[in-house]
Amino acid sequence: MDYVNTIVRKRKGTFNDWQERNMKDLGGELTHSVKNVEYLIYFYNEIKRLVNSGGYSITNEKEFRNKIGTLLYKISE
Amino acid sequence: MMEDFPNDMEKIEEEYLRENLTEEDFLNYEPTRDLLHRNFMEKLERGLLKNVEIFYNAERKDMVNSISNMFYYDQQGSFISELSSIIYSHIKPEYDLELIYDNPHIARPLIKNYDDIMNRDNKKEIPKILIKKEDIKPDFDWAKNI
Repeated sequence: MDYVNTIVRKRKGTFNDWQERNMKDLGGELTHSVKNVEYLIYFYNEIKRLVNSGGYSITNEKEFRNKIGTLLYKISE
Repeated sequence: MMEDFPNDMEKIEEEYLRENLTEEDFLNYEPTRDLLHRNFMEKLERGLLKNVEIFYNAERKDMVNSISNMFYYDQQGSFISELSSIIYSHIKPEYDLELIYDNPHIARPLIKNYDDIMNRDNKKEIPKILIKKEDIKPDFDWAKNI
């Protein structure tokens, strides 16, 4: 059975605010020393590495980076 | 169904396509565009997008299992399609023109003056037989030699 996400994200600050916050464990009090933006950079670089190693080139890198950042922001708390 | 054309004709067609038509020409003609695009999509989905999906789900599951804030709103992995769509719209398509060269009949309508090109090897020049006037003997018996 397929599930569809119906949870609506509560808006808590802007994309820039979110980037600067540390990653955290929502089940407890644990806050990681890694910022959201650092994970975002890692995630983006891995996607870019996969694209390049597949023999493809990115047409508009700035927009590509922004769209991936926006997606991760949208699906994260 | 594919028409059964002799190999040498396909060779001529292939040679013509290689020398005279560009990727843009093939993309402007629906049957060749469909073939190239379908092949591009199949390779993209089997290769890059599959690898991205493996990476995305591994990351997402790690984060979901540790109740991280990251990927919190994608508990089931529904957003992989959105990521794939972003990737698809930001990469330069790579088309394999060899597909058309291997099946030149698909692009046959793009070949201008098709009949002339196909028949060029069949049109063998008839050699002219020239006999010098002085070589014709005055006593040549035409009736006997015809």
